[in-house]
Amino acid sequence: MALRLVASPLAISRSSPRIVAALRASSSTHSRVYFHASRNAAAATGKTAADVTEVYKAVAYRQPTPNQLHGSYHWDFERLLSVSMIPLFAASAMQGAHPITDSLLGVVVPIHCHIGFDAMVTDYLHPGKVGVFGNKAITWTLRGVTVLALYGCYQFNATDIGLTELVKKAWTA
Amino acid sequence: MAKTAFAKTRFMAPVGTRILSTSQSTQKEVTVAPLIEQRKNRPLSPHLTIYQPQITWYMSGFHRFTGGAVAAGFYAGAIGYALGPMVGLGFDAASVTSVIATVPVAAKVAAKFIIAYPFTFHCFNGIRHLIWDTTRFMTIKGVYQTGYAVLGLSTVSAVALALI
Repeated sequence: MALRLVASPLAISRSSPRIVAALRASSSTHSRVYFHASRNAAAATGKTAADVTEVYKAVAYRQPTPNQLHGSYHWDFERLLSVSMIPLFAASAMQGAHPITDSLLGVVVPIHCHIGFDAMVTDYLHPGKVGVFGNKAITWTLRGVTVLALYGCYQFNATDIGLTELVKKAWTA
Repeated sequence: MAKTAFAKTRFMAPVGTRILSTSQSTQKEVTVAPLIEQRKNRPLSPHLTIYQPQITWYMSGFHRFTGGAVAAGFYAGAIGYALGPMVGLGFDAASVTSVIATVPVAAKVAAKFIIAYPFTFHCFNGIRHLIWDTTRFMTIKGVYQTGYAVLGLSTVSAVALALI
């Protein structure tokens, strides 16, 4: 079973040769890529969902190109940020207000929130549901909102009493 | 009409219909659009409503929910502070603290618990996720043990924070 190298933007991981053979055996010009077909098996045929000219139109979601910045590096960064919040919150609680702790909180917490919101957008507001433009609009809106939050934290730390002091004062008011 | 040998060789169709279509492309265009619209209206099988409540997915959903809630509150505060002066609703730490001071004690304790519990749950469950990322406690038993530990710790710490 010779596997030919397909220069396709889709991520090709070698699926079962039997599935590939079955898909290739079916008619080549009018092969149907159904909703529930294995993505990798379909990709191995060399055709994308956009090639389907039969009853089912192209699926709105396109498998994204493999990119470590969005893959394992993103995962590493997310965990690193989460781990760093443990000593940060501990220091803030034990030591009280300090410019370094407050500045770090004002950066790390908004970015952590952004990553969480981004995951929720990916899961619930994906292109298949809200359209490609809708997903892009929501993603960029989220980025703008995070930038605003970062700016607000910076302003508060710079001109007001700082995040740790605020929590302390408001909590014991 | 199909009794004669000649008639039987002919395909029976009502008068006026086209059996063979000469314009294939328009027929395909006509049939595709409403099908796509119908696919968008397809019913979904029940999923969350029928799956047995379990600590695994309840806590996972609650982790996301509390994360979203606490983050939304944080963003609202930070963005409100940044843009408040623009719309005349500017506030600072002093005004916020003075408003809180006017609230009765019982309401304050209740509100502090309601604010603290999502935060503590998300914190401890986040640590549970980080422990999983080191491949520890990745068994059914481990998941349940850490799950109960998180539930206990988060409740106790939230009560403690509410009473400060």
